[in-house]
Amino acid sequence: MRFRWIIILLAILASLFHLFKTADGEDGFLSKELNIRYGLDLQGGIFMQLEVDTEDAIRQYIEEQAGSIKVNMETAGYTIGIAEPYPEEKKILFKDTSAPEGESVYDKLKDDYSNWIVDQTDEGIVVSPRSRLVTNVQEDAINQTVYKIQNRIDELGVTEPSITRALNSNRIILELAGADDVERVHNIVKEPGKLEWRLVHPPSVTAALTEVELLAPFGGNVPAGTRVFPNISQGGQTAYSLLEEVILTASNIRDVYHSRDNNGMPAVGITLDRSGNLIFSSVTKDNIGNNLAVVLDGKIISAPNIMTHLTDPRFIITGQFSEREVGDMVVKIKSGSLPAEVRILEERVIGPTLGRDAIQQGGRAAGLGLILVAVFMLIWYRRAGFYSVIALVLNLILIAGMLSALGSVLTLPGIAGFILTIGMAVDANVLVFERIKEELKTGLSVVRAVDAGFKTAYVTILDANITTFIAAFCLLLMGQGPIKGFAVMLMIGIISSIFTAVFCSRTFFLAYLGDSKHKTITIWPMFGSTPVE
Amino acid sequence: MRNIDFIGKRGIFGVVSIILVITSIALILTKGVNKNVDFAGGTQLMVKFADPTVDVGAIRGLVSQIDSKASVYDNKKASVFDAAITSGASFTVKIKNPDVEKGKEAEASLDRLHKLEFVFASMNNDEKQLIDLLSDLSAEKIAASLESENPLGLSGLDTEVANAYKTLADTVKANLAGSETIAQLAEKVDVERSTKVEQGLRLAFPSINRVTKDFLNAMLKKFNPLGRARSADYVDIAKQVLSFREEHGDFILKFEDMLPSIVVAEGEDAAQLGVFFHDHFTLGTYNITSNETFSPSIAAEMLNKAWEAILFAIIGILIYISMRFTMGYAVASVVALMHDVIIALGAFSLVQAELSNPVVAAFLTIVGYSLNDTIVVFDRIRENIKNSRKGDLAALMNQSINQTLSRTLVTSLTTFVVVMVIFLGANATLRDFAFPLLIGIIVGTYSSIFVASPVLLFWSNKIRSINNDK
Repeated sequence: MRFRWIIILLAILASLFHLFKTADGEDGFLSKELNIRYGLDLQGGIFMQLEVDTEDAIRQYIEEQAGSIKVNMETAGYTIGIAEPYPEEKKILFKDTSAPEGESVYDKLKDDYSNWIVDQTDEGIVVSPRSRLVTNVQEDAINQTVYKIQNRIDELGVTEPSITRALNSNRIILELAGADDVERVHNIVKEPGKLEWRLVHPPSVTAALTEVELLAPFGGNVPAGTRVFPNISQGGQTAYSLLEEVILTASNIRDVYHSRDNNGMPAVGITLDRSGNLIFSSVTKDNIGNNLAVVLDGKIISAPNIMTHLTDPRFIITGQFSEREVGDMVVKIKSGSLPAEVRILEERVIGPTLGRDAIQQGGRAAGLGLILVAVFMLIWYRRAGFYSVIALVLNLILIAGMLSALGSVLTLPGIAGFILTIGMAVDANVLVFERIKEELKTGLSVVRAVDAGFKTAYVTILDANITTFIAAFCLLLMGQGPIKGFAVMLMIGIISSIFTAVFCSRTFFLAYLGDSKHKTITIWPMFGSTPVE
Repeated sequence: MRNIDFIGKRGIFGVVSIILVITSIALILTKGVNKNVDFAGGTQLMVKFADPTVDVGAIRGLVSQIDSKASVYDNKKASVFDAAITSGASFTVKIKNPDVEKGKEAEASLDRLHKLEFVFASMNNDEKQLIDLLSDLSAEKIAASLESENPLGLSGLDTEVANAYKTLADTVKANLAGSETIAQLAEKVDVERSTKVEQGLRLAFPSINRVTKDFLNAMLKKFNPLGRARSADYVDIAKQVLSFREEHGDFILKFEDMLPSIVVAEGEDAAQLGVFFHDHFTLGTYNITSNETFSPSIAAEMLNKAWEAILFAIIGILIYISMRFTMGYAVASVVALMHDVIIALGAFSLVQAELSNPVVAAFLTIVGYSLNDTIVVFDRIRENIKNSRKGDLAALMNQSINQTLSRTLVTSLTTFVVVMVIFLGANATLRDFAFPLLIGIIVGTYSSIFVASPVLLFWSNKIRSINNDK
């Protein structure tokens, strides 16, 4: 018996603990607000489901590569008359090709482009990307889109943005609590990032400094003709001041790729277009030993040192990079151009007032529902009904506690689920009480009738609830944001109501009847006759 | 002991059920079931006006010019609790399945939003406010706001960018006279990039009644009216502005009303804050409370998933019941279940309510609920078969239904009452959800008494006796 009370007490305490636990950084022992996370539909914000058109990414890639391979081959001394991209068929046709003495275009392509299938046909040489390369290009397109959004999201001033890629798909889910500026979000999603190359000033930097340290030599002011940019290439709050003049932009870059330096260390490879190469050649000539910063959307993603005068349109950025860092940087630089079309499949913009009103309405509806059910139970089952009402209140506390402990969000349909639970939770008690009444009618003593009532009704309660649980589980798998909240609420409600209506209310009965003064319990309706006493 | 002969009258109720099911199917096939925007594709938007006299007819007229499929609903009659909460006027605009080129849904939805915003703004002449604000401001101030917004996406030297926007601002000032709308103004300022200029002006001078806390904070940080340290934020001010707005029915009508109640830190000049608000914001008279858009492809996918969920639920439950009971019980309960879902769907079609995600959730709840009742009865039938020697199944069933009758009625009553409270009290989304539940509860209770057991009896007599099963 004592054991039962301890379990009930522990359940209540655990729920209250989770509900009133102070959040990180909050003062005091008890939190002022309930620890329940609201879904976007209640707190307001933007939800977007995006689809990156990965087929489009391949098409763009094929078009890019037609030019890029031609340039590279010609730099190596081969002649490619025509490079014709066929984006729909995923292939490039090279016509009118010729090679230096003793070499062959076919062999050179085979050697240099191991990710491509090279075929000699009647029309010319046809190259098409291997499936591995296709997958890489598609993955890159998705990652670039994610990166671009992440990088620019602070334009919106959103405190806790969430950008997740749906598992194994080309979908991106964007959740911005507290935002409602759909116009800006569209811009962020649909427009390329702004990529610039600017010289560092003072020209050569030895160590990364914070903004204050950086400006200290200049009396805390930004020197004329320069601007301070935050540096995100290393951790910490460092910054560089850069010259205002923009040297190159994304439009000058033909290709960015994984590469290696002479020692086989990972490096970022870049191919510039003609005009980019001319500018770059003259800038590197005058700035050997200086640093050149790559700025994406107003943030420095890399500031390598210029080692030599670069005349080749193809060059590499070296540093102590790991494979992973190179991969990241390629994605970042590429996000300065649009790798693929992005489609907005679904967008929901919810203002903060809608949720506020819904919470108020839901609260009132829950309160009213609770009162109506409680009054009915008290009239219909009297003392037994009173126990079921206590169990119901307990149930609601436990549901809130479980919701908080699981960290799942409360959504608008979730509120409906909560209110619905108020009506359905007493079902288990009703089953038990009706059973007890029946047992009493057969002439059993009160104690034994209560015992039999709980025991026999138990199986029925389980069977009936498991079926509802299965339905709720299917709803959860269906996976639509706010509706998931309803499913979770229903499932929590089922588990909790079995506990409170069976275990807790039985404890109340046992405690009451355990006292030898109480020989009977009122379970019959207040009005009308009482068949048995 | 109460003993009503339910099983004996199964013929009558069988006919009633069959008529109901056939009528429902006929309704579903002829009238069809309406789909809401999440299953049909399209836009659903809720708007609230400060002015309670805004007329639904006026909006309807203007909105129908944007898209002939658009429908406008007045939210006033939505909830019995609403009267206490909502002041002003609130409307829902739905545009289902608009004609949009595939792949251009995002552009189309933004375009639609702009047009709707223009309609809402025209109700109380918000457009003029922005024109007046631009007339009041100096070209320098307009240039500064535009530059921080950078609508033309200019890059290059800072001075170049600044000069470009100064020139733009000068042109704006020069063309203000005679421009009635921002669109007209933008057209005169820069024909080629008029949409960008128009967007830029609207974004640079937003309505104080539409900004979010985070955005207000970001904007205050950018213009730093109180001269705070570069890294300091303005969350305190943004919070005060928003709570003032909330306390005054979600609309600030005059900056003068709000400013005295804003507390600034010691040594800061509150007057500067007043200048800041006057220079950067308009007092919009409407507020879009929600705006949801679904592309046709995602809508079709959602509808598919919804059917899948219902199908999986039915299969899962069938397996569970055939494991716990026998096949006969499982088939009987699924027949009862389909009966309930079809009739609920029929009722849905009859009143022309709309199928949406919350409604599917409600249907799945009906699935669970309908079984709940049926299983309680079946459990008792099984128990009574076990305990009794004589094998008159019909009598045993009747006894079981009678024994569980008061439980069935009490539970249905309590559940019905709370769902009724949701139906009457909560907002539009939840009402859509509560309506099929109300029908489901009534039909589910009926079917657990009048449908499930007769079907089980039929199965036992004609196909395989359940008396002999374990």
